[in-house]
Amino acid sequence: MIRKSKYTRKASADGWLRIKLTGGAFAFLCEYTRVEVTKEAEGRVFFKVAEGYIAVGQEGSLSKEHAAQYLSDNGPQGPAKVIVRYKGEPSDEHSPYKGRLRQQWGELTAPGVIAQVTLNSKSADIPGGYTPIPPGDHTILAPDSSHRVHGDTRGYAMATPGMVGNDIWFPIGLNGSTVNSSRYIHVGHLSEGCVTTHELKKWTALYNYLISHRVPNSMGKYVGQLKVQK
Amino acid sequence: MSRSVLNAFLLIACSVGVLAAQDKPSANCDLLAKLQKKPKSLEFVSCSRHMELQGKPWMAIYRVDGTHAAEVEQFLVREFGMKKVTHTCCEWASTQNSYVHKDGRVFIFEMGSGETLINRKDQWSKIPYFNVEVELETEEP
Repeated sequence: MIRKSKYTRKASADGWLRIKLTGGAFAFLCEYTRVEVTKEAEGRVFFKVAEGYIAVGQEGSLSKEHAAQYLSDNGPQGPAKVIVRYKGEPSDEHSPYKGRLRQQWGELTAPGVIAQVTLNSKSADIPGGYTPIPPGDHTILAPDSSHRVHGDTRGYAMATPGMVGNDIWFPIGLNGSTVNSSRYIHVGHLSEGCVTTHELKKWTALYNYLISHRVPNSMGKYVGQLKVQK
Repeated sequence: MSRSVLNAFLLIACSVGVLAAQDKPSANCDLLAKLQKKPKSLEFVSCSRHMELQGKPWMAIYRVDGTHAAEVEQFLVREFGMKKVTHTCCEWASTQNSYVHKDGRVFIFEMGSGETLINRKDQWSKIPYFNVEVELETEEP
């Protein structure tokens, strides 16, 4: 039996790769997910999903053509490191996508990327009860599932030619926790305590950096560290 | 079996002019209506084929006003095994729900609010619309 580690690549600009699970249903894997190839049969490449949060331990397959395109020998690099600094007090903006919002701005720094982010959004109509992410060292987790539904992050992608990974959100574990806090690093103009990449044209570089990194020996579940400073 | 059924579906679709209008909205691929499982409160918006996506799916788009969204959610959970809509930062959503029809066709169901600051389910009526997407894959991954 052949058995070889391969790493997924996206099949669509939104960031996901669809695979067929044995039994007929589909599953969606993010990039750099390790799979263990087990066999080739009837024009398909079969593998076991080995890491991440989705379909782990299940057998999936791709056509030979898609396997050649979307399974790579190259795995992720080591842990990612991202720094976010608060920028002053909340201030008003008129988002072309979301209208008038009071934003807590921040600046995100990662290798090759400096981007404006919003750490919390409030509107006059809906005060909301969220708070910006607290200063400290937090864990960036691997993507959990799609967050797209028609009319959502695709609008940002359509307005930003070349954007990839708009549908990939990175959960945050607070204060070193590895539990999804429901705060995410993602692209957009609306934040409920997330690190929301408001500067849309910077998202692709940040996405490519984050998705290609994993903390070693974490079964592909952790991407790296997010340091938040005031 | 599943391929032949899918091909038959596409042949029928072609015969009524759907394939002649690829990537253009069409009322001819109201997928839930074709499955005879469409809640009354769910409004068909459009349908088009997305050649740029893996699987080259037909994608039917629907919407339901926030007042009736919970009913539609329950229907999709019951009939198609969709996961319940949950709230994560900035949106309500249930995504990447794969449903294998008895004839072998694979559909993907998604339902969500888009970005919103409404974060309690008992306030869904304040959300103007929830979107529902139903995809029919035309190629296996």
